[in-house]
Amino acid sequence: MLVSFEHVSLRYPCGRTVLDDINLALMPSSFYFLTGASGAGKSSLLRLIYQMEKPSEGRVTLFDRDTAQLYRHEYPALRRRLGIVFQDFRLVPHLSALENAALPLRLAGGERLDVEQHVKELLQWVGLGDRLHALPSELSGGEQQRVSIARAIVNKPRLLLADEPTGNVDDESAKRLMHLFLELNKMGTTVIFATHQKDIVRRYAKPVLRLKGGRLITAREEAA
Amino acid sequence: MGMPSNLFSTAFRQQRLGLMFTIIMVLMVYLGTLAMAAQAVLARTALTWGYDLQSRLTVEIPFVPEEDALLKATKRDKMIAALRAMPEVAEVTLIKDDETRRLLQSWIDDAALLNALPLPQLLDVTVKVGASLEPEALRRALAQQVEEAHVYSHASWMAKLFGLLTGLGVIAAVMLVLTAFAVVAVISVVCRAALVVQHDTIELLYFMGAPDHAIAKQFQKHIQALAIPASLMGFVLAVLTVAMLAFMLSSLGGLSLIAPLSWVTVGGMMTLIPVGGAILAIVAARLSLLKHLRRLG
Repeated sequence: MLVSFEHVSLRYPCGRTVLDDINLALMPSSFYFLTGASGAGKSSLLRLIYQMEKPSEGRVTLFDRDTAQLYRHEYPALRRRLGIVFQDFRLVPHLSALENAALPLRLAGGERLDVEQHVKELLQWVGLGDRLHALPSELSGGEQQRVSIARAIVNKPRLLLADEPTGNVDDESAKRLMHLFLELNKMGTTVIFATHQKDIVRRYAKPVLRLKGGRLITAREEAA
Repeated sequence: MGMPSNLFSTAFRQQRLGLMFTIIMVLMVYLGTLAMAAQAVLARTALTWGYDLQSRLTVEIPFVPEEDALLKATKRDKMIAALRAMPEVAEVTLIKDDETRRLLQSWIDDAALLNALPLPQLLDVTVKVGASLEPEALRRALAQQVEEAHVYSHASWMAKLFGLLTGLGVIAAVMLVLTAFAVVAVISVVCRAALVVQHDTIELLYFMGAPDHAIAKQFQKHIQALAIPASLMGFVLAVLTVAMLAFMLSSLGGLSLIAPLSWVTVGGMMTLIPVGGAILAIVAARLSLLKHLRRLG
């Protein structure tokens, strides 16, 4: 099992429950849409997976490891198998698009020239071939999003978490990005694609995890 | 290959952290080097004075108005012979009247009075290395030759100066230790502030699988780049200060107060401070960064 949640709840210190009794099991090489209205808990669920949050209750298992049992020195290896596309991009402001996208490979100790070549090709593929040396402040929201996506997939992660990755791009770019995610999925990467864009969810026949008020609901429950 | 070298380049530019760190490091190395120089000079001087304390005695044959020059010379020669016959004595030197007058010149300005002054005959006695000569025992032994002879041990007045020197040496050493503590404290604060400034980037790196030591190494490189030139600057300023003090002391004739010592040795000891300071800064930075990162992550 790649990711599993067993009776997972997340409450903030103020007492607000963000996620309530979540149970799920995600299989390797699968593709899931994670949907729900704004504030339904999509980002919080992703944060639990990439270990930015600890569950208040329940058990989160990642790559067959109970995350509550992980030692600090085990996090880096675990996180290198993840790719994360943040809603707010999280690009390093003083690094160029090329440097930002290359960060995971450089952290993994890749050879400079190989890394550069690989990242250049990837940025060209996402349509930023002529913006390699631009700083994030010189890029539009959509371009920053594409750099963020390139960075998340550059090291071919086993699990890709994308938080509203098409939220800031036009329809044509959204289709290209979806195509990219589907290609990655075909190559074996599990993708969790959080979005509130119902048209994207409808367009692709993929399993959907629906969140409502911090709870996972079935399609039947949603219809009701 | 690792992370880009400019990843945290802004950390030390914001809030002038780098400038603040450099200034403090220059000051600390400057003070530390001065303290080390003082410690080296004082320790060497105390050691030499300590040796003098044990190895030097003065024998006085008091002035007797009724005695003529021949009798005085006879007494003096008997005394010198008696002293030289002692196995503990290495050397006996007669302090000539001119030399005694020269020593008194600072207190008695009137040349006529100085020349008319009745002077005792003084003998400077050096004891052999490792031997010991008790002043009272010596006085008793010499009384057989010249009954009224006095023996003065340098210990009585030099012991206080020796104590003062030792005290100053201890203060210099304490200053050195305090300076090291201050460097560590400053580095801890600077590292923490730099990590806070770069919190978002650090969090991002964690999500990409960066271990603590890789992040700490990047910050450490920046600290290193600041600490090494700052240490050199502090050292150069301290060397200039010591050279200036040495020049001023020599022009006042004060260098004779300080035990003769190798300036190469002092210079060598002073060099330990910038080297040690830079190493301390780098090690303290690494440990401090790892500690703060564990709290952040």
